Amino acid sequence: MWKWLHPYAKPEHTYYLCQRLLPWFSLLGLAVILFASVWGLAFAPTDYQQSEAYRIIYVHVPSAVLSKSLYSAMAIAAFVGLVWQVKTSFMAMMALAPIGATVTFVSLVTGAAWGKPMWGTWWEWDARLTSQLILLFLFLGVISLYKAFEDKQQAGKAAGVMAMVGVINLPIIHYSVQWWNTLHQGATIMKLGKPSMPPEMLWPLLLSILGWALVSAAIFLLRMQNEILQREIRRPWVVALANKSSTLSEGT
Amino acid sequence: MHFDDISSFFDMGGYGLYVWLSFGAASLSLLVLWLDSFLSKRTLLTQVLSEQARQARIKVAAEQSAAAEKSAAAEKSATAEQRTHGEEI
Amino acid sequence: MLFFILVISLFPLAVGPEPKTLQLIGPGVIWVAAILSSLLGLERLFRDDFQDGSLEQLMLSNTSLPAAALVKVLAHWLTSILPLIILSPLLALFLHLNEPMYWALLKTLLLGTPLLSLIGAIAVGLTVGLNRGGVLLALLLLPVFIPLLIFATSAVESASMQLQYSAQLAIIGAMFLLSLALAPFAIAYALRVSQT
Repeated sequence: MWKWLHPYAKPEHTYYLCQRLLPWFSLLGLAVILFASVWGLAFAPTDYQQSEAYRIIYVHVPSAVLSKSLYSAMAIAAFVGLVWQVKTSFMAMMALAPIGATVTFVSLVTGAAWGKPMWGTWWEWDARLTSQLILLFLFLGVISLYKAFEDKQQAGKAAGVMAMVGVINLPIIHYSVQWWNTLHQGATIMKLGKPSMPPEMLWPLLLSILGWALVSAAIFLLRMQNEILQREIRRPWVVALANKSSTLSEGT
Repeated sequence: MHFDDISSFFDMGGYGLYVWLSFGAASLSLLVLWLDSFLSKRTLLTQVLSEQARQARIKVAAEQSAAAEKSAAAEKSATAEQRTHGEEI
Repeated sequence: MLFFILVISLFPLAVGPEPKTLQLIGPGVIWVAAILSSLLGLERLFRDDFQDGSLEQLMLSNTSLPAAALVKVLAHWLTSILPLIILSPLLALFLHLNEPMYWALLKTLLLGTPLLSLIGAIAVGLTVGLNRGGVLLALLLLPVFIPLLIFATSAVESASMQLQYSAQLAIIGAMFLLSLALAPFAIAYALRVSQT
């Protein structure tokens, strides 16, 4: 059933696949994200309670959603790499990690920026933000562990183990932080939850999430290529590729 | 368009700082991430080319010194032959 | 150990001797001290064996690596955590914890601190032999220890309000049993990864 995946264990094959997909994801992603952002910023209606500040939702929610999806994707790549010993899987895992860390960071900053007008403080230990902070630490841990090893084979496996430990703990952390928050509930309640959003507000949000996903995918393709190039830098196919791309750029 | 004019668009009902801070931080972060990825790729490819050029230079230098040795050896045997030839005569 | 008594003594000096305040932060302070003590001890867990080559010997020998790992974990718990637990009555006294709070604290420490050793050893297995392993270890482990911290301190807090805390203990107990079953194998795997 998975036979069609087998060629992609070969880095060269995967590199060219990324190359073919890159223009599509990049252009589409950029277009969707711009379109959705403009729609949300300028054309969506005002919120009754939060006035125009609610528009931060159009960057906060996509980044938060992506942060969790990217961690799951990274954990799946780790699992595949550890169980089936596929090197390209570890490369994918490390290509995803910095993207995950970045979007988690964005979710924290936008969460804080949203919190200030809503709660009065830049930071609040509510369940959402606290979970995101811990998620950021998890991403940074995987990245740091990987960088600490010289042998990239070892590095991949070690980082993979930590990614798995993290993913097993993620639901536990989530649940415990939520529970902790209800215990220490002050006057602040994160208004986000599951609001019944009118479609005029919902559509730009969904589109934004899609846009962010496409852009993340595009950056993933780029970083995957970099991981492959780093590993395969002395191979003849890489040398040929470098020559071809340099003559192409000389031509332009 | 929901806003009446550009200035109210920037003002965002008084929350302009927070909205634009958020969108700005988001765009900047994505841009930096993308730039890092794109520039790394370019650096890697130029690295390959310069390494290739270096290898080529090493090869040429090795060939040259091999050729120089060869001709020096040839000269030596030629002069040695002349001497023995001269002695025979 | 003396170090931790000193540090914990700093808190009343820092936040004032008001019993109510100390009671509020007490359980948290002791638990954080336990986590830090554990981290310090973890660094040394495999390091000495790694440096004199006996780690390699152990891995090549016929003894089951998970079993050896478990023994090491027990050793860590005994040296880095047990002293703190033995001293806990004194620390509870310093922080004005009342009797029901103390019993809750003790139960959480007994059930929960083995988790610190078990999971910590997995991360140490991966990082033994790396430079600056200590900071990396903290970064890797703190997110994972947070749920334990939350449930443990909440248990003591419930005790302080004369409420039931069996739910928290049950969760900690479940986490403990789960790690007891799985961690030795993960530690063995981690050692194999880092010591190829």
